[in-house]
Amino acid sequence: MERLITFDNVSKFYGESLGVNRVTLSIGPGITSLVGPNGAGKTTLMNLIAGVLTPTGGTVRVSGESPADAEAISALVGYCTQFDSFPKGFTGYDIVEGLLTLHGYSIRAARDHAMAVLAKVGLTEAAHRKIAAYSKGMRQRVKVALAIAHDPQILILDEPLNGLDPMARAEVIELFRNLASAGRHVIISSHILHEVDVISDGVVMLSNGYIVAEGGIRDVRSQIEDHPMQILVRCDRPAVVASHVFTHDSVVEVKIHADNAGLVVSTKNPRQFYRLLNQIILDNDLSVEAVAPADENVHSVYEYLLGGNGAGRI
Amino acid sequence: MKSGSRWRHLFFLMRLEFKRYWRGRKFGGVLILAIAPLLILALPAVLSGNRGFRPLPIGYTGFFQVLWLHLVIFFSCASVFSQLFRSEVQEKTLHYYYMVPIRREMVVLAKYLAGLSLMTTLFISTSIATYYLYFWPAPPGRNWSLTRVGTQHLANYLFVVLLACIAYGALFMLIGLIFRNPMIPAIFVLLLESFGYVLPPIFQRMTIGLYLQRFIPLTVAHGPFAIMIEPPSATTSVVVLAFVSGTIIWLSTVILRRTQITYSVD
Repeated sequence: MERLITFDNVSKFYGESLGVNRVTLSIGPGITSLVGPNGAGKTTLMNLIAGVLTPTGGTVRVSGESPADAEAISALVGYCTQFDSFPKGFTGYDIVEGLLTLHGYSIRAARDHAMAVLAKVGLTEAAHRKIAAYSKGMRQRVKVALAIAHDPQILILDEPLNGLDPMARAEVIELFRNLASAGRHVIISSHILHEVDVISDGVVMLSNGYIVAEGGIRDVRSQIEDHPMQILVRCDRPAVVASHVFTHDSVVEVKIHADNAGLVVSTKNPRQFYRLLNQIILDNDLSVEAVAPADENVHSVYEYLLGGNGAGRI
Repeated sequence: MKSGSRWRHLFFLMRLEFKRYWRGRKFGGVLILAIAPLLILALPAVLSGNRGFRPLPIGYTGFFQVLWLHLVIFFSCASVFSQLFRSEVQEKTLHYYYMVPIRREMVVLAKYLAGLSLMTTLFISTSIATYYLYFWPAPPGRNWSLTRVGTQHLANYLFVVLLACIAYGALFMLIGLIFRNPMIPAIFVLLLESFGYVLPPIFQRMTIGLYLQRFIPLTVAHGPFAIMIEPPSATTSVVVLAFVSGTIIWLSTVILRRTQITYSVD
Protein backbone atom coordinates (compact mmCIF):
# COMPACT_ATOMS: atom_id res chain seq x y z
CA MET A 1 0.00 0.00 0.00
CA GLU A 2 1.18 3.50 -0.85
CA ARG A 3 2.14 5.13 2.43
CA LEU A 4 2.81 8.67 1.38
CA ILE A 5 0.70 11.78 1.41
CA THR A 6 1.51 13.56 -1.82
CA PHE A 7 0.72 16.98 -3.16
CA ASP A 8 1.43 17.40 -6.83
CA ASN A 9 1.45 21.05 -7.90
CA VAL A 10 -1.55 21.75 -5.67
CA SER A 11 -3.14 25.18 -5.48
CA LYS A 12 -6.14 26.30 -3.53
CA PHE A 13 -7.81 29.67 -3.95
CA TYR A 14 -10.76 31.03 -2.00
CA GLY A 15 -12.22 33.27 -4.66
CA GLU A 16 -9.35 35.64 -5.27
CA SER A 17 -7.60 34.88 -1.98
CA LEU A 18 -4.71 32.47 -2.02
CA GLY A 19 -4.76 29.46 0.28
CA VAL A 20 -1.73 27.58 -1.02
CA ASN A 21 -0.01 27.81 -4.38
CA ARG A 22 1.84 25.20 -6.45
CA VAL A 23 2.60 22.94 -3.54
CA THR A 24 4.54 19.80 -4.40
CA LEU A 25 5.25 17.77 -1.33
CA SER A 26 5.55 14.23 0.01
CA ILE A 27 4.88 13.45 3.63
CA GLY A 28 5.97 10.10 4.99
CA PRO A 29 5.28 8.39 8.32
CA GLY A 30 6.53 10.08 11.48
CA ILE A 31 5.81 13.47 12.96
CA THR A 32 5.73 16.30 10.43
CA SER A 33 5.12 19.81 11.64
CA LEU A 34 3.58 22.55 9.57
CA VAL A 35 5.09 25.85 10.61
CA GLY A 36 4.25 29.34 9.47
CA PRO A 37 2.54 32.54 10.50
CA ASN A 38 -1.24 32.99 10.44
CA GLY A 39 -2.54 32.83 6.88
CA ALA A 40 0.46 30.83 5.69
CA GLY A 41 -1.73 27.95 4.48
CA LYS A 42 -1.23 25.37 7.23
CA THR A 43 -4.92 24.65 7.83
CA THR A 44 -5.58 24.71 4.10
CA LEU A 45 -3.02 21.94 3.62
CA MET A 46 -4.62 19.96 6.44
CA ASN A 47 -8.11 20.43 5.07
CA LEU A 48 -6.92 19.32 1.63
CA ILE A 49 -5.56 16.08 3.12
CA ALA A 50 -8.79 15.51 5.05
CA GLY A 51 -10.88 16.11 1.94
CA VAL A 52 -12.94 18.91 3.45
CA LEU A 53 -11.49 21.14 0.74
CA THR A 54 -10.88 20.27 -2.87
CA PRO A 55 -7.88 21.76 -4.65
CA THR A 56 -8.35 24.42 -7.29
CA GLY A 57 -5.54 22.77 -9.22
CA GLY A 58 -3.21 19.79 -8.87
CA THR A 59 -3.66 16.43 -7.18
CA VAL A 60 -3.62 15.27 -3.57
CA ARG A 61 -3.29 11.56 -2.77
CA VAL A 62 -3.52 10.15 0.72
CA SER A 63 -2.02 6.66 0.91
CA GLY A 64 -3.05 6.23 -2.69
CA GLU A 65 -6.63 7.41 -2.08
CA SER A 66 -8.24 10.56 -3.34
CA PRO A 67 -9.43 12.80 -0.49
CA ALA A 68 -12.69 13.17 -2.44
CA ASP A 69 -13.54 9.60 -1.40
CA ALA A 70 -15.06 10.62 1.93
CA GLU A 71 -15.62 7.10 3.26
CA ALA A 72 -12.09 5.89 2.50
CA ILE A 73 -10.49 9.06 3.83
CA SER A 74 -12.45 9.12 7.07
CA ALA A 75 -11.22 5.58 7.79
CA LEU A 76 -7.63 6.59 7.05
CA VAL A 77 -7.56 10.01 8.69
CA GLY A 78 -8.25 11.31 12.18
CA TYR A 79 -8.56 15.07 12.29
CA CYS A 80 -8.26 17.23 15.40
CA THR A 81 -9.44 20.63 14.24
CA GLN A 82 -8.70 24.01 15.77
CA PHE A 83 -12.37 24.39 16.58
CA ASP A 84 -14.69 22.35 18.75
CA SER A 85 -16.05 20.55 15.73
CA PHE A 86 -18.13 17.96 17.54
CA PRO A 87 -21.90 18.21 17.89
CA LYS A 88 -22.96 19.87 21.11
CA GLY A 89 -24.94 18.39 23.98
CA PHE A 90 -22.97 15.15 24.41
CA THR A 91 -20.62 13.73 27.00
CA GLY A 92 -17.04 12.95 26.03
CA TYR A 93 -17.86 9.25 26.21
CA ASP A 94 -21.00 9.60 24.04
CA ILE A 95 -19.18 11.36 21.28
CA VAL A 96 -16.23 8.95 21.14
CA GLU A 97 -18.43 5.86 21.48
CA GLY A 98 -20.76 7.20 18.78
CA LEU A 99 -17.88 7.82 16.42
CA LEU A 100 -16.62 4.28 16.94
CA THR A 101 -20.11 2.96 16.22
CA LEU A 102 -20.07 4.89 12.97
CA HIS A 103 -16.71 3.31 12.18
CA GLY A 104 -18.38 -0.10 12.42
CA TYR A 105 -17.41 -1.18 15.94
CA SER A 106 -19.93 -3.42 17.68
CA ILE A 107 -21.72 -1.80 20.62
CA ARG A 108 -19.63 -3.63 23.21
CA ALA A 109 -16.34 -3.02 21.39
CA ALA A 110 -17.20 0.66 20.93
CA ARG A 111 -17.98 0.96 24.64
CA ASP A 112 -14.72 -0.63 25.78
CA HIS A 113 -12.58 1.12 23.19
CA ALA A 114 -14.12 4.53 23.93
CA MET A 115 -13.13 4.26 27.57
CA ALA A 116 -9.63 3.11 26.61
CA VAL A 117 -9.17 6.06 24.26
CA LEU A 118 -10.48 8.53 26.84
CA ALA A 119 -8.06 7.04 29.36
CA LYS A 120 -5.20 7.61 26.90
CA VAL A 121 -5.95 11.34 26.87
CA GLY A 122 -6.58 11.49 30.61
CA LEU A 123 -10.35 11.93 30.53
CA THR A 124 -11.47 8.81 32.37
CA GLU A 125 -13.01 10.73 35.26
CA ALA A 126 -14.70 13.32 33.08
CA ALA A 127 -15.87 10.81 30.46
CA HIS A 128 -19.53 10.98 31.45
CA ARG A 129 -19.69 14.74 31.90
CA LYS A 130 -21.17 16.97 29.21
CA ILE A 131 -18.50 18.44 26.94
CA ALA A 132 -20.07 21.85 27.46
CA ALA A 133 -18.87 21.65 31.07
CA TYR A 134 -15.29 20.80 30.08
CA SER A 135 -12.42 23.23 30.41
CA LYS A 136 -10.56 24.31 27.28
CA GLY A 137 -7.83 21.78 27.95
CA MET A 138 -10.38 18.98 28.39
CA ARG A 139 -12.13 19.91 25.16
CA GLN A 140 -8.75 19.85 23.46
CA ARG A 141 -8.16 16.36 24.83
CA VAL A 142 -11.56 15.09 23.71
CA LYS A 143 -10.75 16.37 20.21
CA VAL A 144 -7.51 14.41 20.28
CA ALA A 145 -9.48 11.36 21.51
CA LEU A 146 -11.89 11.71 18.59
CA ALA A 147 -8.98 11.94 16.17
CA ILE A 148 -7.21 8.82 17.43
CA ALA A 149 -10.27 6.75 18.40
CA HIS A 150 -10.59 4.66 15.24
CA ASP A 151 -6.84 4.06 15.08
CA PRO A 152 -6.28 5.96 11.83
CA GLN A 153 -3.13 5.67 9.73
CA ILE A 154 -2.93 9.44 9.45
CA LEU A 155 -3.44 11.92 12.25
CA ILE A 156 -3.96 15.58 11.44
CA LEU A 157 -3.65 17.81 14.46
CA ASP A 158 -4.32 21.51 14.10
CA GLU A 159 -2.84 23.27 17.12
CA PRO A 160 -3.31 20.20 19.34
CA LEU A 161 -1.34 21.59 22.26
CA ASN A 162 -3.43 24.75 22.66
CA GLY A 163 -4.99 25.04 26.08
CA LEU A 164 -3.16 22.05 27.55
CA ASP A 165 -1.28 22.41 30.81
CA PRO A 166 2.42 21.35 30.80
CA MET A 167 1.65 17.91 32.24
CA ALA A 168 -1.06 17.20 29.67
CA ARG A 169 1.20 18.54 26.91
CA ALA A 170 3.93 16.11 27.86
CA GLU A 171 1.43 13.23 27.89
CA VAL A 172 -0.08 14.17 24.55
CA ILE A 173 3.35 14.63 22.96
CA GLU A 174 4.33 11.21 24.25
CA LEU A 175 1.15 9.82 22.69
CA PHE A 176 2.02 11.40 19.34
CA ARG A 177 5.54 10.01 19.56
CA ASN A 178 4.20 6.51 20.20
CA LEU A 179 1.84 6.78 17.27
CA ALA A 180 4.64 8.01 15.01
CA SER A 181 6.99 5.25 16.13
CA ALA A 182 4.22 2.76 15.30
CA GLY A 183 4.44 3.94 11.69
CA ARG A 184 1.59 6.45 11.67
CA HIS A 185 1.69 9.80 9.92
CA VAL A 186 1.29 12.54 12.51
CA ILE A 187 0.88 15.96 10.95
CA ILE A 188 0.91 18.81 13.44
CA SER A 189 0.52 22.52 13.11
CA SER A 190 1.71 24.44 16.09
CA HIS A 191 2.75 27.91 17.04
CA ILE A 192 4.90 26.65 19.88
CA LEU A 193 8.23 26.33 18.11
CA HIS A 194 10.33 24.78 20.85
CA GLU A 195 7.80 21.94 21.12
CA VAL A 196 7.70 21.53 17.36
CA ASP A 197 11.48 21.30 17.51
CA VAL A 198 11.42 18.60 20.15
CA ILE A 199 8.80 16.37 18.60
CA SER A 200 9.19 16.73 14.84
CA ASP A 201 10.90 14.32 12.48
CA GLY A 202 10.42 16.84 9.71
CA VAL A 203 9.04 20.31 9.13
CA VAL A 204 7.20 22.05 6.33
CA MET A 205 7.62 25.81 6.53
CA LEU A 206 4.97 27.88 4.87
CA SER A 207 4.63 31.54 4.13
CA ASN A 208 1.82 33.25 2.20
CA GLY A 209 0.64 29.98 0.69
CA TYR A 210 4.05 28.84 -0.51
CA ILE A 211 6.38 26.20 0.90
CA VAL A 212 9.55 27.96 2.00
CA ALA A 213 11.41 24.88 3.19
CA GLU A 214 10.74 21.24 3.98
CA GLY A 215 12.58 18.22 5.30
CA GLY A 216 14.46 17.31 8.45
CA ILE A 217 15.33 20.39 10.45
CA ARG A 218 19.07 19.72 10.06
CA ASP A 219 18.72 19.42 6.28
CA VAL A 220 16.71 22.59 6.12
CA ARG A 221 19.23 24.44 8.25
CA SER A 222 22.17 23.27 6.15
CA GLN A 223 20.48 24.67 3.04
CA ILE A 224 20.36 28.18 4.49
CA GLU A 225 23.66 29.55 3.24
CA ASP A 226 22.94 33.21 4.00
CA HIS A 227 23.28 32.58 7.71
CA PRO A 228 26.54 31.01 8.97
CA MET A 229 26.00 28.00 11.23
CA GLN A 230 26.37 28.75 14.93
CA ILE A 231 28.22 26.12 16.93
CA LEU A 232 28.33 26.09 20.69
CA VAL A 233 31.50 24.86 22.37
CA ARG A 234 31.68 24.51 26.15
CA CYS A 235 35.30 24.09 27.27
CA ASP A 236 37.78 25.19 29.93
CA ARG A 237 39.78 27.68 27.78
CA PRO A 238 37.52 29.28 25.16
CA ALA A 239 40.01 32.05 24.42
CA VAL A 240 42.45 29.46 23.09
CA VAL A 241 39.81 28.08 20.74
CA ALA A 242 38.86 31.59 19.66
CA SER A 243 42.41 32.58 18.84
CA HIS A 244 42.92 29.49 16.66
CA VAL A 245 39.61 29.53 14.77
CA PHE A 246 39.92 33.21 13.86
CA THR A 247 42.75 32.40 11.51
CA HIS A 248 40.32 30.56 9.23
CA ASP A 249 38.29 32.34 6.53
CA SER A 250 35.15 30.30 7.09
CA VAL A 251 34.75 31.57 10.65
CA VAL A 252 32.88 34.86 10.64
CA GLU A 253 32.20 35.50 14.30
CA VAL A 254 33.16 34.22 17.74
CA LYS A 255 31.40 35.11 20.99
CA ILE A 256 32.95 34.03 24.27
CA HIS A 257 30.48 33.38 27.07
CA ALA A 258 30.45 35.70 30.04
CA ASP A 259 31.28 32.81 32.38
CA ASN A 260 34.43 32.17 30.33
CA ALA A 261 33.46 28.52 30.03
CA GLY A 262 32.37 28.43 26.42
CA LEU A 263 31.94 30.20 23.11
CA VAL A 264 29.69 30.36 20.07
CA VAL A 265 31.39 30.20 16.68
CA SER A 266 29.65 31.32 13.50
CA THR A 267 31.05 29.50 10.50
CA LYS A 268 30.22 29.13 6.83
CA ASN A 269 31.82 25.70 6.73
CA PRO A 270 30.80 23.59 9.73
CA ARG A 271 32.59 20.43 8.53
CA GLN A 272 35.88 22.24 8.24
CA PHE A 273 35.29 23.84 11.63
CA TYR A 274 34.65 20.48 13.33
CA ARG A 275 37.92 19.09 11.90
CA LEU A 276 39.76 22.20 13.05
CA LEU A 277 38.22 22.02 16.48
CA ASN A 278 39.37 18.42 16.92
CA GLN A 279 42.90 19.51 16.10
CA ILE A 280 42.77 22.46 18.51
CA ILE A 281 41.48 20.24 21.32
CA LEU A 282 44.22 17.69 20.80
CA ASP A 283 47.02 20.23 20.37
CA ASN A 284 46.05 22.24 23.46
CA ASP A 285 44.80 19.45 25.64
CA LEU A 286 41.47 21.19 26.22
CA SER A 287 38.76 19.83 28.47
CA VAL A 288 35.53 19.91 26.40
CA GLU A 289 32.13 19.63 28.03
CA ALA A 290 29.89 19.97 24.93
CA VAL A 291 29.88 20.76 21.24
CA ALA A 292 26.50 21.31 19.60
CA PRO A 293 24.85 23.32 16.84
CA ALA A 294 23.33 26.43 18.42
CA ASP A 295 20.85 27.30 15.67
CA GLU A 296 19.91 23.96 14.22
CA ASN A 297 16.34 24.21 15.47
CA VAL A 298 12.97 25.19 14.15
CA HIS A 299 13.01 28.53 15.89
CA SER A 300 16.27 29.67 14.30
CA VAL A 301 15.37 28.30 10.90
CA TYR A 302 12.00 30.01 11.13
CA GLU A 303 13.70 33.26 12.05
CA TYR A 304 16.15 33.03 9.16
CA LEU A 305 13.56 32.08 6.57
CA LEU A 306 10.49 33.94 7.68
CA GLY A 307 11.87 36.71 9.83
CA GLY A 308 10.37 35.74 13.17
CA ASN A 309 11.12 37.83 16.20
CA GLY A 310 12.74 35.08 18.17
CA ALA A 311 10.32 35.25 21.05
CA GLY A 312 9.55 31.56 21.02
CA ARG A 313 6.09 31.96 19.52
CA ILE A 314 5.12 32.99 16.03
CA MET B 1 -15.13 -6.57 15.31
CA LYS B 2 -16.33 -4.04 12.83
CA SER B 3 -19.82 -4.58 11.50
CA GLY B 4 -21.29 -1.79 9.42
CA SER B 5 -24.94 -0.95 9.57
CA ARG B 6 -26.54 1.81 7.60
CA TRP B 7 -29.54 1.81 9.92
CA ARG B 8 -27.28 2.27 12.91
CA HIS B 9 -25.59 5.17 11.13
CA LEU B 10 -28.94 6.71 10.29
CA PHE B 11 -30.25 6.46 13.84
CA PHE B 12 -27.01 7.78 15.32
CA LEU B 13 -27.07 10.84 13.10
CA MET B 14 -30.76 11.40 13.85
CA ARG B 15 -29.98 11.17 17.56
CA LEU B 16 -27.32 13.84 17.14
CA GLU B 17 -29.87 16.01 15.44
CA PHE B 18 -32.50 15.54 18.15
CA LYS B 19 -29.95 16.50 20.78
CA ARG B 20 -29.16 19.60 18.81
CA TYR B 21 -32.83 20.60 18.73
CA TRP B 22 -33.21 19.91 22.40
CA ARG B 23 -30.49 22.34 23.36
CA GLY B 24 -31.14 24.83 20.56
CA ARG B 25 -32.80 28.15 21.30
CA LYS B 26 -34.46 28.21 17.90
CA PHE B 27 -36.50 25.13 18.65
CA GLY B 28 -37.84 26.89 21.73
CA GLY B 29 -39.15 29.55 19.35
CA VAL B 30 -40.82 26.86 17.22
CA LEU B 31 -42.48 25.39 20.31
CA ILE B 32 -43.82 28.80 21.31
CA LEU B 33 -45.02 29.36 17.74
CA ALA B 34 -46.84 26.02 17.80
CA ILE B 35 -48.42 26.48 21.20
CA ALA B 36 -49.46 30.16 20.93
CA PRO B 37 -52.40 29.46 18.56
CA LEU B 38 -53.72 26.89 21.05
CA LEU B 39 -53.95 29.64 23.64
CA ILE B 40 -55.60 31.98 21.15
CA LEU B 41 -58.18 29.32 20.34
CA ALA B 42 -58.83 28.56 23.98
CA LEU B 43 -59.28 32.23 24.88
CA PRO B 44 -62.78 32.91 23.40
CA ALA B 45 -64.20 29.84 25.08
CA VAL B 46 -62.73 30.85 28.42
CA LEU B 47 -63.81 34.49 28.15
CA SER B 48 -67.32 33.97 26.78
CA GLY B 49 -68.10 30.92 28.84
CA ASN B 50 -69.23 29.27 25.61
CA ARG B 51 -72.17 31.68 25.25
CA GLY B 52 -72.99 32.66 21.67
CA PHE B 53 -69.93 30.98 20.16
CA ARG B 54 -70.79 28.82 17.17
CA PRO B 55 -67.76 27.14 15.69
CA LEU B 56 -68.24 26.51 11.97
CA PRO B 57 -66.13 24.11 9.89
CA ILE B 58 -65.36 26.90 7.42
CA GLY B 59 -64.06 28.99 10.32
CA TYR B 60 -61.54 26.31 11.18
CA THR B 61 -60.55 26.03 7.51
CA GLY B 62 -59.78 29.78 7.51
CA PHE B 63 -57.76 29.43 10.70
CA PHE B 64 -55.93 26.39 9.33
CA GLN B 65 -55.05 27.92 5.97
CA VAL B 66 -54.15 31.44 6.99
CA LEU B 67 -52.65 31.14 10.44
CA TRP B 68 -51.73 27.51 10.95
CA LEU B 69 -50.43 26.40 7.57
CA HIS B 70 -49.07 29.58 6.04
CA LEU B 71 -47.62 31.11 9.17
CA VAL B 72 -47.02 28.63 11.98
CA ILE B 73 -46.08 25.50 10.03
CA PHE B 74 -44.41 27.46 7.27
CA PHE B 75 -42.15 29.49 9.56
CA SER B 76 -41.45 26.54 11.82
CA CYS B 77 -40.30 24.49 8.83
CA ALA B 78 -38.27 27.46 7.61
CA SER B 79 -36.65 27.85 11.02
CA VAL B 80 -35.84 24.16 11.58
CA PHE B 81 -34.99 22.84 8.12
CA SER B 82 -33.02 25.84 6.87
CA GLN B 83 -30.77 25.48 9.93
CA LEU B 84 -30.03 21.77 9.42
CA PHE B 85 -26.73 22.63 7.74
CA ARG B 86 -26.52 26.40 8.12
CA SER B 87 -26.20 26.18 11.90
CA GLU B 88 -23.45 23.55 11.55
CA VAL B 89 -21.52 26.07 9.49
CA GLN B 90 -22.17 28.82 12.04
CA GLU B 91 -21.08 26.60 14.94
CA LYS B 92 -18.14 25.26 12.90
CA THR B 93 -19.24 21.69 13.50
CA LEU B 94 -19.66 20.58 9.88
CA HIS B 95 -16.18 19.01 10.10
CA TYR B 96 -17.63 16.27 12.26
CA TYR B 97 -20.01 15.09 9.54
CA TYR B 98 -17.25 15.30 6.94
CA MET B 99 -14.88 13.19 8.99
CA VAL B 100 -17.21 10.30 9.84
CA PRO B 101 -17.27 7.27 7.54
CA ILE B 102 -20.74 7.97 6.25
CA ARG B 103 -21.80 8.96 2.80
CA ARG B 104 -22.94 12.55 2.54
CA GLU B 105 -26.27 11.28 1.18
CA MET B 106 -26.85 9.57 4.51
CA VAL B 107 -26.04 12.78 6.40
CA VAL B 108 -28.62 14.67 4.35
CA LEU B 109 -31.22 11.94 4.76
CA ALA B 110 -30.66 11.60 8.51
CA LYS B 111 -30.90 15.31 9.13
CA TYR B 112 -33.98 15.63 6.97
CA LEU B 113 -35.72 12.66 8.60
CA ALA B 114 -34.87 13.95 12.07
CA GLY B 115 -36.37 17.34 11.21
CA LEU B 116 -39.37 15.75 9.56
CA SER B 117 -40.15 13.39 12.42
CA LEU B 118 -39.86 16.22 14.90
CA MET B 119 -42.03 18.62 12.93
CA THR B 120 -44.72 16.07 12.07
CA THR B 121 -44.90 14.88 15.67
CA LEU B 122 -45.20 18.45 16.89
CA PHE B 123 -47.68 19.67 14.33
CA ILE B 124 -49.87 16.60 14.05
CA SER B 125 -50.37 16.63 17.81
CA THR B 126 -50.93 20.40 17.97
CA SER B 127 -53.22 20.25 14.92
CA ILE B 128 -55.42 17.75 16.73
CA ALA B 129 -55.39 20.05 19.74
CA THR B 130 -56.33 23.13 17.68
CA TYR B 131 -59.15 21.21 16.00
CA TYR B 132 -60.78 20.16 19.22
CA LEU B 133 -60.05 23.42 20.99
CA TYR B 134 -61.94 25.15 18.22
CA PHE B 135 -64.97 22.86 18.14
CA TRP B 136 -65.15 21.51 21.68
CA PRO B 137 -66.34 24.51 23.72
CA ALA B 138 -69.77 24.69 22.01
CA PRO B 139 -71.92 21.53 22.10
CA PRO B 140 -73.00 21.73 18.41
CA GLY B 141 -69.36 22.06 17.33
CA ARG B 142 -68.31 19.29 19.70
CA ASN B 143 -71.01 16.98 18.35
CA TRP B 144 -70.13 17.77 14.76
CA SER B 145 -66.39 17.20 15.32
CA LEU B 146 -67.17 13.70 16.56
CA THR B 147 -69.23 12.76 13.52
CA ARG B 148 -67.74 10.76 10.65
CA VAL B 149 -67.52 13.94 8.55
CA GLY B 150 -65.85 15.85 11.36
CA THR B 151 -63.32 13.09 11.89
CA GLN B 152 -62.73 12.87 8.14
CA HIS B 153 -62.04 16.61 8.06
CA LEU B 154 -59.51 16.22 10.84
CA ALA B 155 -57.81 13.36 9.00
CA ASN B 156 -57.57 15.55 5.90
CA TYR B 157 -56.03 18.41 7.84
CA LEU B 158 -53.49 16.06 9.37
CA PHE B 159 -52.58 14.72 5.94
CA VAL B 160 -52.06 18.30 4.77
CA VAL B 161 -49.78 18.91 7.75
CA LEU B 162 -47.75 15.81 6.88
CA LEU B 163 -47.42 16.78 3.22
CA ALA B 164 -46.59 20.38 4.13
CA CYS B 165 -43.80 19.27 6.47
CA ILE B 166 -42.39 16.92 3.80
CA ALA B 167 -42.43 19.52 1.03
CA TYR B 168 -41.55 22.67 2.96
CA GLY B 169 -38.93 20.70 4.88
CA ALA B 170 -37.12 19.60 1.73
CA LEU B 171 -37.38 23.08 0.22
CA PHE B 172 -36.00 24.86 3.28
CA MET B 173 -33.20 22.34 3.74
CA LEU B 174 -32.06 23.19 0.21
CA ILE B 175 -32.44 26.92 0.86
CA GLY B 176 -30.32 26.56 4.01
CA LEU B 177 -27.60 24.84 2.01
CA ILE B 178 -27.54 27.50 -0.67
CA PHE B 179 -28.19 30.80 1.08
CA ARG B 180 -26.16 32.36 3.88
CA ASN B 181 -29.32 34.09 5.15
CA PRO B 182 -32.19 31.68 4.47
CA MET B 183 -34.87 34.05 5.77
CA ILE B 184 -34.80 36.27 2.67
CA PRO B 185 -35.73 33.47 0.23
CA ALA B 186 -38.12 32.13 2.89
CA ILE B 187 -40.07 35.39 2.84
CA PHE B 188 -40.18 35.25 -0.95
CA VAL B 189 -41.59 31.71 -0.76
CA LEU B 190 -44.07 32.84 1.90
CA LEU B 191 -45.39 35.61 -0.35
CA LEU B 192 -45.68 33.16 -3.23
CA GLU B 193 -47.48 30.60 -1.08
CA SER B 194 -49.77 33.07 0.68
CA PHE B 195 -50.78 35.22 -2.28
CA GLY B 196 -50.15 32.81 -5.13
CA TYR B 197 -53.90 32.74 -5.85
CA VAL B 198 -53.67 36.15 -7.53
CA LEU B 199 -51.00 34.91 -9.95
CA PRO B 200 -51.62 33.34 -13.36
CA PRO B 201 -52.30 29.58 -13.24
CA ILE B 202 -48.80 28.66 -14.45
CA PHE B 203 -47.27 30.30 -11.35
CA GLN B 204 -49.91 28.84 -9.06
CA ARG B 205 -48.86 25.37 -10.26
CA MET B 206 -45.37 26.15 -8.94
CA THR B 207 -46.62 26.56 -5.37
CA ILE B 208 -46.80 23.81 -2.78
CA GLY B 209 -50.05 25.31 -1.54
CA LEU B 210 -51.95 24.37 -4.70
CA TYR B 211 -51.19 20.66 -4.21
CA LEU B 212 -52.09 20.84 -0.52
CA GLN B 213 -55.36 22.55 -1.43
CA ARG B 214 -56.79 19.31 -2.79
CA PHE B 215 -56.85 17.82 0.71
CA ILE B 216 -58.27 20.80 2.59
CA PRO B 217 -61.91 19.84 3.10
CA LEU B 218 -63.45 23.27 2.47
CA THR B 219 -62.49 26.19 0.26
CA VAL B 220 -62.07 29.69 1.65
CA ALA B 221 -62.85 32.56 -0.72
CA HIS B 222 -59.78 34.69 -1.47
CA GLY B 223 -61.60 37.83 -2.65
CA PRO B 224 -62.20 39.48 -6.01
CA PHE B 225 -58.58 39.36 -7.23
CA ALA B 226 -58.19 35.61 -6.88
CA ILE B 227 -57.71 33.54 -10.00
CA MET B 228 -59.27 30.28 -8.93
CA ILE B 229 -57.95 27.14 -10.57
CA GLU B 230 -58.95 23.57 -9.90
CA PRO B 231 -56.31 21.79 -7.78
CA PRO B 232 -54.89 18.61 -9.33
CA SER B 233 -56.36 15.25 -8.31
CA ALA B 234 -55.39 13.74 -4.97
CA THR B 235 -53.10 11.17 -6.59
CA THR B 236 -51.42 13.76 -8.81
CA SER B 237 -50.94 16.08 -5.84
CA VAL B 238 -49.27 13.40 -3.74
CA VAL B 239 -47.09 12.22 -6.64
CA VAL B 240 -46.02 15.77 -7.51
CA LEU B 241 -45.20 16.68 -3.91
CA ALA B 242 -43.32 13.40 -3.34
CA PHE B 243 -41.41 13.76 -6.61
CA VAL B 244 -40.49 17.39 -6.00
CA SER B 245 -39.46 16.70 -2.39
CA GLY B 246 -37.38 13.70 -3.47
CA THR B 247 -35.70 15.74 -6.20
CA ILE B 248 -34.91 18.55 -3.78
CA ILE B 249 -33.42 16.09 -1.27
CA TRP B 250 -31.29 14.55 -4.02
CA LEU B 251 -30.18 18.02 -5.09
CA SER B 252 -29.23 18.74 -1.47
CA THR B 253 -27.00 15.66 -1.41
CA VAL B 254 -25.29 16.83 -4.61
CA ILE B 255 -24.70 20.25 -3.06
CA LEU B 256 -23.40 18.79 0.21
CA ARG B 257 -21.00 16.54 -1.69
CA ARG B 258 -19.59 19.63 -3.37
CA THR B 259 -19.63 21.83 -0.29
CA GLN B 260 -16.21 22.66 1.09
CA ILE B 261 -15.41 23.80 4.58
CA THR B 262 -13.83 27.21 4.34
CA TYR B 263 -14.71 28.60 7.77
CA SER B 264 -11.58 27.19 9.37
CA VAL B 265 -8.88 28.34 6.99
CA ASP B 266 -6.00 30.10 8.65
